[in-house]
Amino acid sequence: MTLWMLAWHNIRRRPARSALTIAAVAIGIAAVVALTAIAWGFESSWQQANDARATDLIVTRQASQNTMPSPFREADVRPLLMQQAHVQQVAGLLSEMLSVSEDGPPAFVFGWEYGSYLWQHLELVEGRWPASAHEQVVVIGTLAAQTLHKGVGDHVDIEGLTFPVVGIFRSSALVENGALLMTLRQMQQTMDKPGKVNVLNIQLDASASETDEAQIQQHVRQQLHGYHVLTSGELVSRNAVVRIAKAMSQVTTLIAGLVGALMVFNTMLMSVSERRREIGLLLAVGWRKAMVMRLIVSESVGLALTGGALGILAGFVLASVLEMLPLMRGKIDPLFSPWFLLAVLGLSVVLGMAGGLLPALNAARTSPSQALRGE
Amino acid sequence: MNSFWLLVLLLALGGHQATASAQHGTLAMDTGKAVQLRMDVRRYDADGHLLSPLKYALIVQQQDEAQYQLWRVLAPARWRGQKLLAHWQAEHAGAIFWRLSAEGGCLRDAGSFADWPGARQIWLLMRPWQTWAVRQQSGKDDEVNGHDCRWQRVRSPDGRWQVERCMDQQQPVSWRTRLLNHRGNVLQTIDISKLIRRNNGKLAARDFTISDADGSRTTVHVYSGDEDYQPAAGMFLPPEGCAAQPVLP
Repeated sequence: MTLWMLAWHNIRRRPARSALTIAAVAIGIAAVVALTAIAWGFESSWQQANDARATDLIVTRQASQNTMPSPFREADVRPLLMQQAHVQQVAGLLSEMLSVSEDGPPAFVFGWEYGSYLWQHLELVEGRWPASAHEQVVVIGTLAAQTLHKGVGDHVDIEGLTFPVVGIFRSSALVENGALLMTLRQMQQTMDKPGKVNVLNIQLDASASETDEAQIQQHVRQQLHGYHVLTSGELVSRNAVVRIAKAMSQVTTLIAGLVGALMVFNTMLMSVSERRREIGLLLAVGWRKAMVMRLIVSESVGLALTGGALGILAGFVLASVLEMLPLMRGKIDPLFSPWFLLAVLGLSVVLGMAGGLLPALNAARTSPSQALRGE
Repeated sequence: MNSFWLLVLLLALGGHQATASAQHGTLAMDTGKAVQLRMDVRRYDADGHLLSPLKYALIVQQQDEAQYQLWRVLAPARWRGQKLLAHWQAEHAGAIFWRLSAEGGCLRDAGSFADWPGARQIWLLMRPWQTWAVRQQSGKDDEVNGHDCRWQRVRSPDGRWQVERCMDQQQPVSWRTRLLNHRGNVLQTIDISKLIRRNNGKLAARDFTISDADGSRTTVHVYSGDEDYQPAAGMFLPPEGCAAQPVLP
């Protein structure tokens, strides 16, 4: 019998206690997996949206660290941007999170500058695009069509105005698939923010290098006080929801780690205490102290690893269930990377080792004669 | 100071600003500036039943010593587009107002403003508290929704109203605000649950609950805003021949 088999046999000797410990570790790991996958997925989805739009730089108002960047007057900023070398197009965008049905959850509503490059990456599935900047119509993403139960020819109420749905589109970005889209002019009118945008998207020409991009950023920062000039990645990482989601996953990881390690520690401490005679016998028949320590640590790692593996499965299920909730549909897209899952398994091993080390040291210090006498 | 005058500002404004404003006898808002807010309002009766939820767009502008407010109902459909235009004078706790139909004409039934769930509660919040002198700077320490705070008390110039607020010691936020009448009875309690950072870096309330003495409560969620709103010319003028309604209490 190998050491690992012996450790596994010992774990199975106390099924109730082992199951409880594994369950506690699994719950913690599931929370870590689900929250981290959601946080990364949220960031990735916004990043995809920006990448799909082929936006190189983004201008927003400074201190706008809220869910949506604060609106600003487009005319105050656009002329300066257009003067920069390599700037091919500047496209205004006004977005809000709004209720578009009586009982449904809020949805992203985007206003994009009519005729700008922003629209080019979208695929029209059904119907048509707005015919002009002034046309009071919306096109909706495939996911929004499902969640709102709306199709071409239906109407949606947005901020007290009625908009006919004239088209359904598909995007490579989840957030856009779950959104409603109208022209910037219509959005400004709907939100009573004439001339305002909360993001200006800049597309550079093909010859622009990273150095050119950095120079534009530096130049605009010097000239435009109170504004940020960011790459799309920087904008996403500064998004309040992304930051909150990441902070939550980090805190959960910390708590789950501590609780998991303590559970394993407690289980192994009790196990060693109950098995003093057995450990003493092993030492008496020639087992080295290092071998006894390896046995105990193997048991604790086995517990944590089993909990970790089950936790990963549970995390998948939890994230999938959350993704299907009406409130969350179209807003989260959990991202499970193989490296992350391996890291979670690594975390389980660390938990097991941390929780088993002290009990293993205790076991190794056992005096065979005292243990066999039952002292 | 930025133009955020209304309740969102009132609830979040610090004692420092309030004191300074009171000392100078001016409203704590730049003349000519305007702000737009959009809010979801849900009113629950004393038994916890949800009354019709409302969405308002609210525009506020400060001009010298006067303040102008334009309320517009976005939802539900039966009140959609109806407006309330209010003119406040800095030295008074009340206002004159006009109710306008969606088409811009006058509505005579002034009392129906109170029909809009939550409107009256928010209205009461909009007294110019930040101009009232702080009577008692430091009261007892307390904890509201997990936040340490210290109570202070202010009173309206005419002595009819008092406000107690529990100010955060680290940041200019009143986590709990109580509006009392001259007898010291609590009329309303406002608890802030979520803050938002404004363009000037200061904090304002985004989600809050107004609890009335009768056990009913109103939750308010500010879902959109524009701190540099450009009001159209004549936006705050009542239609010709439209009589002003009595001053609200």
